[in-house]
Amino acid sequence: MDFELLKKNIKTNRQAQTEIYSSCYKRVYASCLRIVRDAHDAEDLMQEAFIHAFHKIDSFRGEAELSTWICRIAINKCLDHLKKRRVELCYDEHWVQKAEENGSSESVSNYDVERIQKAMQELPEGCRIIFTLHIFEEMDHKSIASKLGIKEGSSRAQYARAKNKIQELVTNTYV
Amino acid sequence: MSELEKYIRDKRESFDEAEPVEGHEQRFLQRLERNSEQKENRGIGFWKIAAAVVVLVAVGLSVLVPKFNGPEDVQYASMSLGDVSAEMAEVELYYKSELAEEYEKLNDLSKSDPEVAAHLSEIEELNKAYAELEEQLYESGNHDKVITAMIENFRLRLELLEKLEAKKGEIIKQDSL
Repeated sequence: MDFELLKKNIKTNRQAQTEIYSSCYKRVYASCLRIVRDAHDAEDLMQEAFIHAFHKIDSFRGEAELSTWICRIAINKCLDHLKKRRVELCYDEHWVQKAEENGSSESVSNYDVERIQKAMQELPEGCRIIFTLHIFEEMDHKSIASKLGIKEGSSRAQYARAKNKIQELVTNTYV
Repeated sequence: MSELEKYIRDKRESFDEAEPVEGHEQRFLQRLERNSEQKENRGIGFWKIAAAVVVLVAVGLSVLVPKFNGPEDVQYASMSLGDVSAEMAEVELYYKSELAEEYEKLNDLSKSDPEVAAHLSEIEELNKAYAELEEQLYESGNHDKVITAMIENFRLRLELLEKLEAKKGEIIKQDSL
């Protein structure tokens, strides 16, 4: 379908809108849930993002996939939501980077989705969000820093800490 | 790239398996419908608010009136309580007329008094917050929390105006001494 026609459909056609929702909601919901952690808020923000995207579809240039674009809108909404609720993003400065210092080797066999998700839940909020934005949403540290109002170096450091902590938990604790 | 990063990127889809609470598609459809209706009503909403401003000006309110309910409160992507339901329209009408009445009583109140100035500044902040809530109401689609905040905003403004009314009584008393 012609790109402009597709955009027009998304803006006005209810069937096109529900089809887009059905095909993308899982990804967008998962992204929201990873950030806000509350199922009700995640659904609310996800749906708000879809409605926003349908209204603003004219600004979608088609450089990324539509689901990626909607995800970005949703992530912005989630971060705004945390700001509005004055959620303090905690960045743990005291983790000992055991995995790195001890040179513990990574083993793919230790990894599974459930263990990694469980380990992510143990990260301080700020670290978890930075980890999520970088690894799942493929945002670079410059963009993350600007979104969260922190320094690029802090974003990198927190990401490294988050990664090490997950490796440590998955390798040593959840075996 | 570490093994962990590689693993997550390779299994990306497996990390997106969480499902929203059952019925989310239906709730989304309802939200879409509400949103379309609000969009249609937006033009009417603008004229309703504009008409309210004209009425308020017509009854000879003070220069404060435009700050309270002026055109700057009317934003394209916003909606008023009156757009939510007939009941909310009544609530809005009640508060707006109460506020207008209080303003009318205050039109000759000395603004040089520090307490009066502080109250007026608080009211100004509440006016701005209300405009933001109207935008949020449009964005969220009849969100209960936003509606509660809007009513609370009205209540606080009315409370401040009542305090100012009491202050006016004191000023008049002092002047007559």
